Amino acid sequence: MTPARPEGHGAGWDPEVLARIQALAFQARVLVAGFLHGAHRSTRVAHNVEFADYKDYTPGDPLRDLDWRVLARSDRLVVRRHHAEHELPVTLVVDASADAGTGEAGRWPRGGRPPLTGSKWGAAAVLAATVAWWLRRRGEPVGLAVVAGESVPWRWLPPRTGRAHAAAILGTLAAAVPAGRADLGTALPAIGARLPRRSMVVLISDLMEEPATWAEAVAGLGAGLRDLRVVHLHDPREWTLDYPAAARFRSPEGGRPLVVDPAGARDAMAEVVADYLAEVRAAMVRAGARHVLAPSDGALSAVVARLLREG
Amino acid sequence: MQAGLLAPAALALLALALGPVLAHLARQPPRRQVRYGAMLLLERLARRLRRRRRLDDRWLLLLRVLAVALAALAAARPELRWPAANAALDGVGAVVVVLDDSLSMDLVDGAGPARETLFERARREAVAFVRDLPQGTRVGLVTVGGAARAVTPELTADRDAVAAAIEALRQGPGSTDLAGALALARRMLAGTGGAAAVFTDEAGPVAVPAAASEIALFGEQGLGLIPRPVRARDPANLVILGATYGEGLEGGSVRLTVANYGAADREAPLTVELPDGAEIHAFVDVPAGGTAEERVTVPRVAEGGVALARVDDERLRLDDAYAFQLPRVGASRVLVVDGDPGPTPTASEVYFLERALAPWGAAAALEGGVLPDVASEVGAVDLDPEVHRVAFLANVSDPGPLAARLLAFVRAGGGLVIGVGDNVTAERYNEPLALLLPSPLRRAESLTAPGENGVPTELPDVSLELFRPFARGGRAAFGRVRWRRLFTLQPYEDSEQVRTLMRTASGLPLLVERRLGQGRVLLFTGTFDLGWGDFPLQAAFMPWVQRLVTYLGGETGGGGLRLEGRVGEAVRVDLPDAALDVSVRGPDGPVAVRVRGGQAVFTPELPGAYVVETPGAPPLAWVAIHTDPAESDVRLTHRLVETAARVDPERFVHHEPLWPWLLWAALGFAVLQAALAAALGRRAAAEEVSRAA
Repeated sequence: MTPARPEGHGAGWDPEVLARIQALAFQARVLVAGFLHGAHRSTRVAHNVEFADYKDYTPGDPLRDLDWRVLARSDRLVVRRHHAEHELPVTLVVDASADAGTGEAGRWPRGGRPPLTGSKWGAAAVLAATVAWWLRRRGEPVGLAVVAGESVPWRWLPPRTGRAHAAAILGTLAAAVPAGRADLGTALPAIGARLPRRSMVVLISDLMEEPATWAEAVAGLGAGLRDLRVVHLHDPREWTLDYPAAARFRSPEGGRPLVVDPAGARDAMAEVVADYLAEVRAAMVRAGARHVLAPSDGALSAVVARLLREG
Repeated sequence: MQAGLLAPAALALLALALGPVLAHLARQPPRRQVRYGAMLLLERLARRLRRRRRLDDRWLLLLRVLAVALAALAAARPELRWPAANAALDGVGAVVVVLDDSLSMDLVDGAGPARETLFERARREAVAFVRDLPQGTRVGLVTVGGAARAVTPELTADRDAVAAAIEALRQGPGSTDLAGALALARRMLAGTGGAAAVFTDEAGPVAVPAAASEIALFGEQGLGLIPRPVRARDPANLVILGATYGEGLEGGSVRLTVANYGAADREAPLTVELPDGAEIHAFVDVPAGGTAEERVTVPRVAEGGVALARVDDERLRLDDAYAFQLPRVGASRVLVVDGDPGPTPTASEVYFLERALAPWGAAAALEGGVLPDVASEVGAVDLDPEVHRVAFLANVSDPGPLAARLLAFVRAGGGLVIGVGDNVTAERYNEPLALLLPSPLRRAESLTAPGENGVPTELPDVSLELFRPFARGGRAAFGRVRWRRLFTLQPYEDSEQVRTLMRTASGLPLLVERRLGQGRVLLFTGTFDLGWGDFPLQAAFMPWVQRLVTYLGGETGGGGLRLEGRVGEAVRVDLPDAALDVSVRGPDGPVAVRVRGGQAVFTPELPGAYVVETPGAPPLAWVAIHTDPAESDVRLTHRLVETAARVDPERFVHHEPLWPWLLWAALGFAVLQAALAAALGRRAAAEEVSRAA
């Protein structure tokens, strides 16, 4: 598999992108520093480094795994078993649709890049960079798939190790501008077709499409032996209609605006959000995915901890 | 032409025009825009609010439909109608209080300390009503019981005097004369206008309907009728509707009919009080709203007169007693003195007399018929005025030893029939029985030659009391009685004491009566057997003999008139002599009586037994006075107002227009919907999730 052709690669490095890369790297290092718990444990049992347990010898077991000392002491044939460490490719799927470009950080130029703090896209980029940084430190392969968005250097970076690969991931995240519609129901199956059978998939999205349209695609993403983890980004202010006065609410993805007086609709909005979350969680349960809510204004370290913890 | 404003200040209301402007401004969509990344949620929110608004809109729709429907209904000007008094008391300058003091108002209602009769309650309410009348109101008072009576001859402004007159009224046993009372009230109000306040229980099936024409006149004359019903919570009453003495000439039982005008079955004790003071007790079960019959056996010997049947009922006591005529029972035993026991039955007077007196035998006679005692001349000493009412001397040869006893018997009220025969001689009769015989005997004479038919009997005068029962039939049978031989009498003339009741066709006296003391003597110049004639074989014989017994006082206590009457209504008794000194004795003693046109006239005020008497003679009449049976029916069957409404619907029907209420309701709903619409509008504005243009 070859990497997708980078968009606008020929335009050279944008100083803003370089600055964002540095900022991403810095924030990733900070977050990883706060999360320094060991490596993934293999789900396979193999003859390698670390002792796991004994089992009674059965014909066909390698004789080299026989524990002679136990045989000498107890006259029993037992076989030593070990945990095996191996590479677990991780693919980061990041939603860069226009809706992800909103947040409480205030206004920024249309078509510009949202700040890394105070916007949903900023939180998504930082989270993806953190995971990538952490995996690079562990020497494990990590890949990136970007859904929607503009100015994306690489739509698809397959899981690989290495400093240059990690830099490409950070560069892609730093350069991308949220734009367009994610259309998860179509995009996720295409990405899933490229993923290794045994891997971890981290989907970072605001999931602002009807659950019925993407539930099946998400389930497909986590099918087989894949470990699917979904970071559900959201701006609490949007979910609670925490706005001072009535206004026209306009989606960056287009469509006609809606006039809302937040004071009167707040209670009903809470019911709507509860119903929506219930649908999302049901879809996650069906997909066997770990669902991690990530407020755009909250501490990302906690999100990283919940995202990467074992089990 | 000029134009102007009658109320220029009202132009200030134009400021209200600012309202729509402000509302319009308030409804302007906001200009501020927000970039929002969760439109999915806002879309869902919009759908949810639209659903809620649809529910709210339904309520709004309902209120609006109701408002319009009620307004349309109000335009039809609906109204409720119900029977009601046609005059309000306010503003009436004259009021006649019509107070029902009839028998039914004696009904006891309530329990414990609140126990009182309807009359007491009506009187109390009437007094309060009069005292509460506005100063200057002229008041009159009319009573209803018996014959309606104007207690105050005219309207008076002295309310205290009227109140005192009301308090002085007492309950009576009279009927309800509501029509008469309203007529009196109407006359009292004539020329002044006003209203009649009627305090009545409205009980009984006829009282209120009978007043319908008067109620109509009230309406026609523009007078008001203000019913003040005084009703019992659970009206109930037991009353004896009738008492009939048993069948047969002498009878033996009294059949009582008892009605229950209550809502529950009742068992009550009955008492029959005979004229001689003896009492017979029984119980009667009467179903609710129905009647029951009870038979009471009367002793074989009982005084005749007016008896009282009484049912024990605490609710309405005035009608508990029912007076009824009771014939003399059993005491009409007849003594037959046989002066000539014959060799064969047909040769014996007693044979025929016994069968005429007790045709169904002694057993039947013991159950109520005439029971003759037969005695010989010697046994005639058994004559007992306490037992026997009539004595027959049948061909007694020597009545001398019996003379004194017979004289006392007749003077005491007994009846004596002297029959002659071959044993009788003028010598043995005329002297000892001089005080008894209507005329001295002369001799026995043959009227025809042997082998010829006898002399027929003249048809009797059925206007005579003795023959009155034969007026309807049987008179002709006397014409077939023939006599071959009779005892002639010395010449005599009919007088007040002596009169001839029967003759032969040839004019010879056959039956002559003499009044003596309280009794009578009948001299029969023929025989009671077939010796001198064929009378015993003729159809007239048996009824004639039994009529003799009745006529001589066997049936009644002296043979006086038997009359029935009603409380408050005049009783008229025909007198045999207009010059008689007549007195009347009622349940409470002497009753005022006047003699007019050969009649004694009195008005009974109480129910019960009345006796019309004249000194030295048996009672002239026994009168049983009843209460009005309609008064005993205490059930509410006709309401005054409803009857009035039927008589004159327009005047006595209250019209309550509904349209103002409907209009107010429509207005209320309109306001309500406006408030709801405003509230919903505010909420909608608050919740508004609408597509911006």
